[in-house]
Amino acid sequence: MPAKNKHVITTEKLNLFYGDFQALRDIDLAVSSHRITAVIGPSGCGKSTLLRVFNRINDIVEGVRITGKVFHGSDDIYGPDADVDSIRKRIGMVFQRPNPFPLSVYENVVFGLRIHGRVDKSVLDGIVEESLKSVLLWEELKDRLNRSALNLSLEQKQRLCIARSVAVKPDIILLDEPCSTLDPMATLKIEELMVELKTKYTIIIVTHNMQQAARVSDDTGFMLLGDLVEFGKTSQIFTSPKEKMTEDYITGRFG
Amino acid sequence: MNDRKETHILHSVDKEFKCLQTLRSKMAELVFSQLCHSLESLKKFDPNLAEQVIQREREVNQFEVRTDSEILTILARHCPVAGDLRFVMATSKSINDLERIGDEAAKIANFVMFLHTDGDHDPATYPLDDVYAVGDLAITTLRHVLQAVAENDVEKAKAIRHEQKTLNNQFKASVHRLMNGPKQNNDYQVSSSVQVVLILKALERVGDHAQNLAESVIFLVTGEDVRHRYPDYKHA
Repeated sequence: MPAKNKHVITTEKLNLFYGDFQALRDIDLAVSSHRITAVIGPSGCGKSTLLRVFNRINDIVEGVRITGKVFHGSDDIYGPDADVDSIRKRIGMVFQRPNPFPLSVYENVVFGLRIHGRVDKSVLDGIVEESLKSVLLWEELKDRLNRSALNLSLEQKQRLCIARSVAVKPDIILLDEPCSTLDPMATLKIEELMVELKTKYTIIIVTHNMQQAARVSDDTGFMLLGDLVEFGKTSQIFTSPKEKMTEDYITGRFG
Repeated sequence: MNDRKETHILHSVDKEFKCLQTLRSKMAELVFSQLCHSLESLKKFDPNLAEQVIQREREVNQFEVRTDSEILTILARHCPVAGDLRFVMATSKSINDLERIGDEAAKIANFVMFLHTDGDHDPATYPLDDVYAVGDLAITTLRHVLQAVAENDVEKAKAIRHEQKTLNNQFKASVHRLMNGPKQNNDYQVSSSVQVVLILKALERVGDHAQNLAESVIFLVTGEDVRHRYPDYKHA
């Protein structure tokens, strides 16, 4: 695991094309360890595309072409020796809609571990407890581990998805609008969870909710039309942004 | 609200910000006239004008209450950020300083009323020449800073520091002259000197509030907090 306060993700002149359409333009970004980094911007600005670059989920999209460099620590994510399974284990992802598998709570948490070959029951039991505790679900679900995950509330499902990601012990957790389907109270609980999780993991969150970015993130990047317009400490971005485009967007003058 | 032409997508935000700006402008106008009238009432020993200043002090206070209410509403409803947040913060601080300047004007007016009701002594015997000079400086400084506020002009705001220092030096020199002037050999002379020092102090405070207003302009426009800068201070 990269040391604290070092850059865990670095991009250099990153460009991404969907066929002829350029979705990311010369992105230079350095994400610091054990911090929450928020990426904000209007729909279609490329923020989710950028997030998906980090664990190579874009690979499955036909016609995607990437130029430039993306490093996890010192490892070139798109280098010829890169192991995609290993990358996705070290860089987990949680999506907008909570998407637990139609399995038990227990099997959802251990799903990634089984794929990676961990089957020892006592080891898995320990990881399930640890993972559910880390997302504050253990007390609620410890007696219902064998029940279907599909019967959980939306917030519990999203916590379970984070637990599933945490179970394989990643360095980084990518969150793509993780609260967009949740009510305000559930949203705040997930935000509180993010703050707790950053002591162990680096978190990168894409959000449309600017107040959410302001509340929970340490660093914020503003994207527009595939460009990373501005990146800085959240306190600076939301009080004295350097770029007028950032100012116009976050104050609601855009458009 | 930095004189930007672009409007918010949600137009009601513009209306609420405009309302706040208008309240601040009206309050600034009133406070400026209060200071001018209070000093005029002193120069002319005009109790009617002084009484008018005292009565209008309530109006100044009501501006503060109303503006604070508008600010609370804006914070609660719109969670402003960036330049909008700095505008709200700067306005909130400005209103506080304007209200305090209003208090100083009322102090001067109350002194005039005291002179009027003190039938035993002639007001002309008070050593007021320095008060008039410091008062003129205070009015000029306040006029200049209110221009800087109205125009969000950083250069004009930066120039206030010099005016405030001049005012401060004049205050110190005036007090020094009072303390080192002809020996005060009766209660009346001592009392009148103390009264004059209090008025001078009120005018010196106007300079301090003008400096605060100037710093708010700099913060609003540049995002830089220039208050309380001590080059040799080490943060813990």
